[in-house]
Amino acid sequence: MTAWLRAPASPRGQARELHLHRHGAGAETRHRAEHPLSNRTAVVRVDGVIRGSGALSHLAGHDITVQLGDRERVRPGQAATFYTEGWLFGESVAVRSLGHADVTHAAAAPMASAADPVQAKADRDLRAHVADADLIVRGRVASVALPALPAKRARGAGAAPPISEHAALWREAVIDVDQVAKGKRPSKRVTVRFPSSSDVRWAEVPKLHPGQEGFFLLHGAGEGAGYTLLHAQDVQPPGADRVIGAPGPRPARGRRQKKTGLNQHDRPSCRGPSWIATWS
Amino acid sequence: MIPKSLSGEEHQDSEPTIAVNPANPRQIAASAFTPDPAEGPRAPIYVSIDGGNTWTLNSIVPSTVADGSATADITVAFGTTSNTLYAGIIRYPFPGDRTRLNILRTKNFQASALMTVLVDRIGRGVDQPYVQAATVTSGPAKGKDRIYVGDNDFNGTGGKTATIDQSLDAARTKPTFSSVRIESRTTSGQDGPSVRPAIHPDGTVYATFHAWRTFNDTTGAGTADIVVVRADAGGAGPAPFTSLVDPGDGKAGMRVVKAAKFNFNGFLGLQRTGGDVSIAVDPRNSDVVYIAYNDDQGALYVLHVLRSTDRGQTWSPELRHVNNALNPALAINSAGKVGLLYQQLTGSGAAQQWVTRFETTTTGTAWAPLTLAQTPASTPPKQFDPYLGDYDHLMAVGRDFYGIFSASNTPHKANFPHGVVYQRNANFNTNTLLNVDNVTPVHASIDPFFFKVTG
Repeated sequence: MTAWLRAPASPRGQARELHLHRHGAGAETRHRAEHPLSNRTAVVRVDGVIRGSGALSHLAGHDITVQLGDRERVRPGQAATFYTEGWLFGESVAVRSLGHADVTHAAAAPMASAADPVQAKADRDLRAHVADADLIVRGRVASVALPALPAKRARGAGAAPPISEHAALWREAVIDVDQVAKGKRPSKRVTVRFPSSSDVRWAEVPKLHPGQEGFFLLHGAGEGAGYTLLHAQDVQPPGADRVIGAPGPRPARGRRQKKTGLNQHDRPSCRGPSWIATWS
Repeated sequence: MIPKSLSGEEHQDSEPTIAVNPANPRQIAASAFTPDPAEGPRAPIYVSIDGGNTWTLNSIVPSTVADGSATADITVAFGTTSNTLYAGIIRYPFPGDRTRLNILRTKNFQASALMTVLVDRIGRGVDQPYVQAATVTSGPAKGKDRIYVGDNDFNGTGGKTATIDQSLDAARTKPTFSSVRIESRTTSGQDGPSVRPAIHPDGTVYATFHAWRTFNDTTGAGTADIVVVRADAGGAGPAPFTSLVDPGDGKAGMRVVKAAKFNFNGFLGLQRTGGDVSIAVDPRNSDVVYIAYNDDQGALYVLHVLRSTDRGQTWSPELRHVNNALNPALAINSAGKVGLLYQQLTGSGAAQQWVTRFETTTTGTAWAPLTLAQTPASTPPKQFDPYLGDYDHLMAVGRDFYGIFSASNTPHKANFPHGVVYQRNANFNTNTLLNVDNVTPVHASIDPFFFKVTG
């Protein structure tokens, strides 16, 4: 998530007292029942969400509980950008901080008016996904058929796949390539496998059909073993040139001031973790 | 069970299970195909610390962002007195069709710490892990947690894939596990995905599974024996789960039903079928065991319940027969009352409904029904398979039954004849779900529903 918090960031060991001070006993009781407060939690107010899932995008103006990392320190009144993962979702929300960076009020204000946080997260996730792809082509699906190659040649699949409700039910599509956006492809055609299964494992992976146009983000299965579609984002519309053409830059963060509490282990990854900017 | 802060969610939260902590029944964990709302690298479990009155999602299960912050299967169970929660999951990512088994543990299911991975196995793939747990109450092993994970392990050789992954001391720092192959006969090449254990406090452990005998790759049609195995020493010793021998062929595992028809490509409404099984043992007497299973009878998908009173050696005639019903879940309370949860497709056309019923019996023949939900069969539309889940879950602690099922969440009082309480925002006058602002309408979806019935 990416969010803005306005409330005082409670320092270690003082979360409970600060919470009482701000909200009174009633709110304190509700929070404590749901999200166990400790010397590693702070209660903060979200001023805005920078990037985040739809479930978190509404948090602006709300108090949430933040579990601090082992070496994180915050003080009342501190303005900070928090990088977080989801933790507890009940009547209210608690997140785990992966680290935070101080920001000034002036710096935070423009961030609060930034683009849709859900779209911002989707864009960032797509950029990361572009970086992960082995081959990206723009083209048109010429045909779809049962695989001509042994199933084991699909990425990671073993010989004679067992019968399971999670079976991918691979299909093979031939794509006429108009443009190679990433990677090298000597041929004007590329063959790609995709799961036709509607099982929970595979349902969100795009199902190709003849005539379909777009960008195809392909994952290699090893030397000479072809390509697969594996993720929901593996097909993008033809107009996605801008995103597809600029793969992989990790978003800058914490530019203003020092970072606190980040270490190699819990440093936010490129995808998934949420950001929360806090200030008061 | 969807909490208020997630009132805007529209995900298909199907295939639920539940785990009540016997040492403190106010603590309840549950699972479903619910992704992490923050779309992070973990999947959530449902947590209640007030006996199921309120629920919170706690994201403590390993997953990945790229694969949707969820699991491909998940079940949960508490040790009897250890306050330890175990989970069996199919963990993301996994390569191709080769599903990845993880067995997990946490000693504090409210904490934020990631669950500890006890087993992480892929090989040719492991399917549908179904965990049960108990703490040994007497003898030299007193205080140890024993867990049994029924799964379909494609690493089993010779097509004998029905497996119990067991640990006889699962709470220790680094527990050891063994994969017990419980299929003793020739299969069609593998067994079915449903392998269900049931534990008695005296150390007896039963399991039932869908033992595939024939299978047509093209049509998905096949036949299966419904087999019950038993371990009299809790799975200890050199040949666990061989205590029950079928006199018909002298092999371990009683073939309670032979050549039950199934179709792995079949559907009942929007829910896929293919072979449901459930088992429960009477906590007062480990000789008494009930099973439920499904088979195809013409166009009908039929649920059956049978009973043995001699440790699985002989079985009763059919005690319960329900047409077009699936997801049977059995439990027996401390008074010997049997509970049966199932979901039945009724009606036709636009009036078709999924009816979720909980029935009880003390005789095995007279069943008292309780309709928990009767919801539209095709609303909401399916997002993926399974629509409701390949299973739901029922368990008993003392005299109380605790259950969980998934169903359409349209807020309509008529859909829940015995009442319902939503945590998420909803207007029962306009039959509309509402977002976190309590104003914006939200589409109907499949949600997990918790219930408790005092026996």
